[in-house]
Amino acid sequence: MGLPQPLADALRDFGHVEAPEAVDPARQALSRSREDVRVIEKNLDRLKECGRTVLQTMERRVSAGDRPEDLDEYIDALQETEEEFRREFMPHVERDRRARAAAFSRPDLSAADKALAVNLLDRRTRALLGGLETLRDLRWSLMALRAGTEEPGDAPVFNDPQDLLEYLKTALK
Amino acid sequence: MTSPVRTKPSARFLKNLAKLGEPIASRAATSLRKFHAAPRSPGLNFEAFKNRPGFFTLRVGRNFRILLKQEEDAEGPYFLLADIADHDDTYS
Repeated sequence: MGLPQPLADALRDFGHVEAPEAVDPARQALSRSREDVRVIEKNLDRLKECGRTVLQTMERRVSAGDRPEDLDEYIDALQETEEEFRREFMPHVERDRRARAAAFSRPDLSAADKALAVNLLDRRTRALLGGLETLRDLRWSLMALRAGTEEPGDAPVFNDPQDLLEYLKTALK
Repeated sequence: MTSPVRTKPSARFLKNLAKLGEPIASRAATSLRKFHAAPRSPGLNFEAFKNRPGFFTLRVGRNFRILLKQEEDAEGPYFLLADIADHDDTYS
């Protein structure tokens, strides 16, 4: 994957998301869903921790004057993983949102079970989106770190936006 | 036209903008024109980068952002257009 092992492992575990059963009225299913959500939240915590470690390690190397060769690789790998997870998670998130809206009008669910189902669906959605946000923010932090180590190139400084846009048009040809 | 800000595209920014191509390049041009005219326009979401002093981001369309780095030359401060990449804002 191109990422350090602890982060790659955390991503592998976070990526295993089962289809939700939080609105299944059976007590057993609700209980199982509660455990599933706990696992996703725990995996998210681990993912955040591994992300922090990767960033701190890179920051230390850059502070020591190193220009880490693997920065580019990490940034690309994080972007690929985020895209992959987004494709996988967003249908879950959409389905959870529909299920949440429908849960309130389900006559087969008691008030307590509706509250529990909505809580589990909300927590699941937050955790899945939180994983995507973690990947995005880590990637952008590494991009900023990289920008601090790179030569800016020989383009001029522009005062007039029209000149800047002309320059971009020519540079992109 | 005199702008309240000055900008310099970095080699990384040019490389990644070329990679993204259209329609992102046109959207980036629109954002940069607005940024030069009024950096604090609400639609631009020009904001400081969390935990990284001297760095800022600028919104390009719905899902992209430009990374800016504050620099200074003999004529005063300017923003280096350090990078551009996707930044999905729908997560939070």
